[in-house]
Amino acid sequence: MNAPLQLNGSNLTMEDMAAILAGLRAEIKIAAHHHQTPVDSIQSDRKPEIFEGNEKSLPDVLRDYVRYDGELWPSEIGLLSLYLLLNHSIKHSGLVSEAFVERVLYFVNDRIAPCLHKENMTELSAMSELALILYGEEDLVCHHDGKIKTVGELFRETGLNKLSYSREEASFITNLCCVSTAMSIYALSAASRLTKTADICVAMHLEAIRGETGAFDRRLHELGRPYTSQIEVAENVRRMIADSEFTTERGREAFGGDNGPRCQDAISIRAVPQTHGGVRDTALWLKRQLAEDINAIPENLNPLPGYLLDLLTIGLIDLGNISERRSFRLLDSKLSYGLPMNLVGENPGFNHGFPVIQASATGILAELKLLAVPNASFSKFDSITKKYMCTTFASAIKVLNAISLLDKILGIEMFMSAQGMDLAKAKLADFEFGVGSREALRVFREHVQLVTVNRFASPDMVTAEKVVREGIVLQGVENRIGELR
Amino acid sequence: MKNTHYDIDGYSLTVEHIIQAVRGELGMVGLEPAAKARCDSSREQITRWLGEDAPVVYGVNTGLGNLKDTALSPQEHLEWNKTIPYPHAAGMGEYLNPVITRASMLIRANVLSRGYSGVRPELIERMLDIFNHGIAPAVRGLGSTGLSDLGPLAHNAMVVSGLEEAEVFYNGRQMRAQACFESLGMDTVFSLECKEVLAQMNGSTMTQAIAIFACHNMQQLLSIEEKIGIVLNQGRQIRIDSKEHIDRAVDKAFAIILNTVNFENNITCDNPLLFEVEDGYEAVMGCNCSNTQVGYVMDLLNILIADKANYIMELIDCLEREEGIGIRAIREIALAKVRTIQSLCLPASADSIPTKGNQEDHVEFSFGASRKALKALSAYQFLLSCLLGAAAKANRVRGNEMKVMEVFPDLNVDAAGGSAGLAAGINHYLAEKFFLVSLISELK
Repeated sequence: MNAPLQLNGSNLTMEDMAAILAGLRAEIKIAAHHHQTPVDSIQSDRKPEIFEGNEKSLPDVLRDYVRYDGELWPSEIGLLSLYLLLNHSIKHSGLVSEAFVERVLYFVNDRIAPCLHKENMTELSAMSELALILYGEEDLVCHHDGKIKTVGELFRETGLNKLSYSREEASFITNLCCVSTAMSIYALSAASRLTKTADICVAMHLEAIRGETGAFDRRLHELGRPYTSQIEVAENVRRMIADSEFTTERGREAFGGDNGPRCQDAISIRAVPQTHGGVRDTALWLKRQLAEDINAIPENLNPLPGYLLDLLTIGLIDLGNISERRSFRLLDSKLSYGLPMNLVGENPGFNHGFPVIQASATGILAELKLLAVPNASFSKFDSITKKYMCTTFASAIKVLNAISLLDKILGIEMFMSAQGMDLAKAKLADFEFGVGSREALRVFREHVQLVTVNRFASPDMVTAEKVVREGIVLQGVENRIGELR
Repeated sequence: MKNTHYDIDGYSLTVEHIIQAVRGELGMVGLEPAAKARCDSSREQITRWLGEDAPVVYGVNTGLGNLKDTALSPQEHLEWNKTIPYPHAAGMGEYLNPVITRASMLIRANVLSRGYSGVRPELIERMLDIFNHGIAPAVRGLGSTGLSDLGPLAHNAMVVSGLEEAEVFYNGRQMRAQACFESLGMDTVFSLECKEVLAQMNGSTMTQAIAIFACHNMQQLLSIEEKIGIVLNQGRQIRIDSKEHIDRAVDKAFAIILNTVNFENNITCDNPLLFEVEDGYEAVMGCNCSNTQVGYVMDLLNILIADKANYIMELIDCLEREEGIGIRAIREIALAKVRTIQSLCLPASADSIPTKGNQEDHVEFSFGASRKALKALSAYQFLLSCLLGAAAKANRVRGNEMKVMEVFPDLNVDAAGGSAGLAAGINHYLAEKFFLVSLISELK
């Protein structure tokens, strides 16, 4: 993406958003003849009333809604919010000043990414924070040039001056759902990483237990129950275990963990295309909606992405459910077809292996499940104003929290599957793993070593999470066998 | 061969078709000739596998579940089919609505007609015969996980086979299946051959049947709500903040649900599946019974209903608040339904508990998700009845009583009567008039 992206208010794509997230974005230019939506075509029945009849100065009105303490969201969310805000401002350029558009353009082209506070938990609060950052509120923070800086520092470095807003302009800006939309896009990107990573965990697990691969047969998915998502997952797994000698009848016989031919593996393994596929669909449904929303940023009311975010959370929890059960199987010699009990590397009894590490996945899963309650479970009409309180923002927060927990559960699964692979390989040294799963193990081992004796578990677990969160093994596998679907 | 008015082919069955067929609007349902030929062809392979030196094929010459490693001879297998539905036919609680179980027979026949299951066309025709006669298996409503509705579908298989203890609902009465068949001049017993029990039981067809009626009820209730809006706005304009936004969002999300449920009608969900290869067929095993997306979208449906319920309650409140209509009792009973709907929002799909000695260690709970969605829809139906009751009372106060009759011509209720009775009367009327199907039948 080297050519400048000519934004006209209606031409932003989800691919552009993905490129921005990946740091590959091109310079933004404003299309010379962009379409301007006239003021009166905008629904304005729900403009926030905070600016009306308020005697405070405009920044003070915004400050009323903003907290300056607590943790920060990843700066990419602030950056994506700015792109959405810019695109929408171009579309409705009659409603904002040129100086404002130039300010946002300056931020995005200089990759100044606002770091929004997690405690600003409504769209109005978050958009107010964004507006204050653009204005030049000294104590708020941005990510710029590889560093977190206060806006005060940033403005001194760059020579930017404080921006002034009209009340109409501030009302227009703070009424938009840019931040929840940005959070949703960020969540989708993470969901895509997680669903692919879960497929990798399965490929590694299959090697460790010398799994039966018929359940991933192309025909079951293309002919039997032809959901595209299910077809994709089965293909990913097949590609990763291609040429594996472990996942064959010969491998199973040589290892000696089975009594006779393996008929089929447990559901948490053989239902992977169906279950991981279903989870992918929850992401796909949200993605289709966001593809529309990014060029028509809704005003403060946007229930549909909220429903779909809640559904994505359910899907991600289910991915946690199935992952936790897979890691559980690796603990038990019978369920793992002969791997050492508790995946102990050597001298069992003295060395303890993975039971407590696996139980952590169970505990984290319980935490994850608490996020399942959808926001529709609660009454949404404000008891005083009688206005409907849209909960899309709350749903976006929830899905981001779910992602962080799922990173950990998959990290544990990958940690244990890698251990299982190495222990299987120790017994069948002459056998080879599949091309993708072998690479996954190799890359994972650059970060977390085989556990042979009792050692401090937590640092390994934290590193395993990092490997998942940063997509390190995913990148390695894709470099080796091409992009996963 | 008898003439049919609508043929299933395994690829084109929709929610609409099923509702029409259940209501008798499609006439007799039959099996499309090309589908029959597909089934004949794959069945021949099963026959070949019953010979000597056959490979191990799960469900053809093995036991089921965690007895999958036990080999069974073809002779044992035929005998086995006469008893194996029994231990699978688990279930507790009240009987599912016969309308639902009857529809499951049609949906399953469609699944089998795709030809990947290796059953005889005669089996499919037997199922359609039962459906066409209006016979519904008697199936209790609790116990299935949705990772295969083994319990409910084993009941269906018992009925199809005419096992002695199988029971059905026919014409509003519960009776032994054999007695029912006999009275209708049908074969009392239909011998199930190899693979034909598993091919009927594996998969989540009862979940699907419930999901079908959930979709149908939702469609009907959306249109009922619009009609009530006409009554409500007679001579006044009650505005609920953001109602249009919510309606638009619900419509778009419901389109996803409907697409998914329609897609799932035309899939193959048993195990193993037979695929054509150069010299016949190959049996491939997988987890085809998983219906992940259906569980998810049923949970989504519950979410949509809850958001609607929020504003329906707000509308009812408005009538009291802004018009001073005395509807405290209606508000009381309506609010209880809103709470029911809200509490049903807890997603079934976000949970999973391992079953069967850890062999089935991830389950969808899609059966629970569908049950829950249909229950929420019934509560929503009652909530709309409360709204219409409140509107009728308000119109009565304003002297606009006729408007209710214009929009709901044969609704005959007394707006001056007790509120709870009024809402119940409207609820009953809506169920009848719009063919709204509840999870549990009132029939005892």
